[in-house]
Amino acid sequence: MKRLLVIALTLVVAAGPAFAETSEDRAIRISKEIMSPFCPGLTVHDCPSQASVDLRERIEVWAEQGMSDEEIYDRLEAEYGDEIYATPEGRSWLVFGLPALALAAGLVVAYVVARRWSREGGRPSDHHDLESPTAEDHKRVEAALGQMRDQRWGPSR
Amino acid sequence: MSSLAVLGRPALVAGLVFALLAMVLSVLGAIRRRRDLSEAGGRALTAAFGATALASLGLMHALFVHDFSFEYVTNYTSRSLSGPYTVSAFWGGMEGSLLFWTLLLTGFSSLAVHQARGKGSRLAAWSAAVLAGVSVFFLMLIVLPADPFSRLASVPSDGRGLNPLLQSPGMMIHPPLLYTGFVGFSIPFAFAMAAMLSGRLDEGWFTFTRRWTLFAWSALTVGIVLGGAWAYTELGWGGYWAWDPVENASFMPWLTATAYLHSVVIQEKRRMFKVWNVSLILMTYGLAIFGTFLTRSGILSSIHTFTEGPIGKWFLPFLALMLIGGLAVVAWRYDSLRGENRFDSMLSREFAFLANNVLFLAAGLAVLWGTIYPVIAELFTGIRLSVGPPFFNAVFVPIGLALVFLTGLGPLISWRRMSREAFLRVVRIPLIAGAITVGAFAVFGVRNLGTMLAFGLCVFTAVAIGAEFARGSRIYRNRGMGLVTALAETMARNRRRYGGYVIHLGIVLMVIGFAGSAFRSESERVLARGESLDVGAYTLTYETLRQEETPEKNVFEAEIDVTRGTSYVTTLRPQRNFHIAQEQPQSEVAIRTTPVEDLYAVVTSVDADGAIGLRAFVNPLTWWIWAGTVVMVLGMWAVMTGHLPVAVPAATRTVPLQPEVAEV
Repeated sequence: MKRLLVIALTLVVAAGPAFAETSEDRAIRISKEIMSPFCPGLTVHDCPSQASVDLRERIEVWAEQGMSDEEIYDRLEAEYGDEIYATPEGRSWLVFGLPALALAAGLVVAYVVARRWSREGGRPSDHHDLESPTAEDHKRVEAALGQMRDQRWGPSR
Repeated sequence: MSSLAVLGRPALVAGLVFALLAMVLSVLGAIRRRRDLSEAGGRALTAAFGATALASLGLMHALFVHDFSFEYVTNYTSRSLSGPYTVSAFWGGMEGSLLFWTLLLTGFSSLAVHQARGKGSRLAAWSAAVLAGVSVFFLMLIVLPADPFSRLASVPSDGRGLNPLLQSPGMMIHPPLLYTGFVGFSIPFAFAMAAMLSGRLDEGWFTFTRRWTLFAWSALTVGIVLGGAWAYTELGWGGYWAWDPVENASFMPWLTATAYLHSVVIQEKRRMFKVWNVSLILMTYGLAIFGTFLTRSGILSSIHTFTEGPIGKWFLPFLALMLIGGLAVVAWRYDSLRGENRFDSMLSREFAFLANNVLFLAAGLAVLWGTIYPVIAELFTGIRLSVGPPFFNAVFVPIGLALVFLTGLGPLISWRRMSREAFLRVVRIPLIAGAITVGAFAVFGVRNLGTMLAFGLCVFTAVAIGAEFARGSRIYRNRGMGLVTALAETMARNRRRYGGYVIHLGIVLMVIGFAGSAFRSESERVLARGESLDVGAYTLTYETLRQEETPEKNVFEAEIDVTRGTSYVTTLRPQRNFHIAQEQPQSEVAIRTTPVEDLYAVVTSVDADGAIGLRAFVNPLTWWIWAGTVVMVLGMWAVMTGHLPVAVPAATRTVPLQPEVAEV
């Protein structure tokens, strides 16, 4: 199984190099990164209004003219302000940081609590079954259950 | 003139009085242990429902007879609006939707309190008090700031009509289902609070509300998916989920509710996590109320509009009161809520559930944070910022993938502890299947790690679920049953467990659909007649434009011939319509759906010379999202109709049957 994983990972890395983006692809990617000034809460890509259709077309024209991503973003920011960015410029550490921190803290707390609970507190579980049942055990239980049910309900059930 | 609607406002005032009465009587009944008072309280709650139902009938009647002397009727309907959409106008505006909320709330409350009568009178009395308290708040909203029955001084001859986007079958079912979900959580919330207040802290409160919780969760789940389906077929941007605040508002309580559905199993099986479960249901209901507030107060368009809006300033104090009150009773009973068992091992079902909870909660917090961050930033800096899909996708994809992994892993791990050998034995086959999938994607040149992992984990989980069914049905197959009969028998014997797996399978199918969007292609151009647009492997040729005028709208229907290589595939007929009453254009999308991929075409503009703006998408595997939902609904039905104790025929009761089950 380990070998399989290694092969899979090697393939992932080997297939790595990014393919060349057309200007249309670039325009689509950028339109997903900016919020529409014309529809509240939707990106330019997702906004159905005519103004948004026109803005997507302008972005594509800019991309075709050879403007870099940076230049296109600057142009958009100059026209529509900071609000155009779908993730806040500059302060993105705060936006992304809190959920990441919460997740990390949650996992640590869960681990610590589970550790503490497994040492103290509550009623200790009985310790008869340190090992999970073996396949042999399963077979015996199933055979017994099957027999029992056949006897009680008849075999045709 | 609607004579019935004239009764609307007096009925709501009466409803408010009944709800207040119900609250007072129930509290007195609970404190003084007077059964007669509690029962009177229950009857007053039913009377509040009756009054709200009468008011709702009044509003419905006014909508149907086009009584434009009512402001609400004028704002949301018109004479030309068709019958079914007149029904959806009932919840199409703020006032009506709040009345609808209240109708469901008082109705569900009366029913639940009635069901609970025999279950210990103090628990029932306290829950009636909590439910009546929430009803008082909502009735106050519709009696005072959001009156659906306010009249116009001069009666217009016709109304403004319903927003054309809302005139779709999806919008007939989506809002009622969401509200059913939101309001349905009132019942487990009220009984959890009642358990704290009455000191009956055993499993009574959540076993009694189990079906209500599942019902609310199922309605919310289907409601959210239908919202996505509506966006997909109506909004015309080729997707189904835009992470906009209104969608997030329904998704947040879903996340915490799903965490609750899982963690409550630990309390049922192991008598642990009691404080946690009460907190989760409190959070869920808080988020349901918060979601209603978010979508109805106008706070999202700007922090400054919400104080001007009629109901914003009512919601925040209520929400604060609810959360502080809830936390206070939990703190009060904290000592009695200690777990009765301990953790035996990290490699246990308990810990898998705990990890599941952490992930769901982190996801919920991330959505909440992203949704309110712009408001908070504006509050502190005065500058408006946006948090959009790139943030939500970046946060959600890893958490979602981890959850898919746990979906497969959790049921394989036994309760309390498991030896490493046993663990490796059960995960081996699913893990190999997942790894092969990832490898296969790599071989076919897929580079995106998230996408490869998504498909790999879906296969892992599907195989794990399959293995569970195989293990469960082995006994019946050994007795000579056919595969189908054996599976049906397995399912019938323990619907809660296997129904849960069916829901998981539905989720896996949906995730396959979500992951397919990584392979989406799209294109957009203005086309003159005869010109064509290439998207994916398809060529779309614009043939003709048909025009038609109806009293409501001017219809422009484009005929688009679709070919793939040299062979004809289909003809799509997307429309661009101009709604006369609202003076706004709207696109009707044309979609050709197959399990492999959807071809999606939308006309974004029609020029005077007959040229059209055409936008087209190829969306691979989207069909699986809807298929997965259908599978989930089957699973929900099985779980909901399953019985709480493992059903064992009376004749075999003496045999201790205690299978390790993941029951929901």
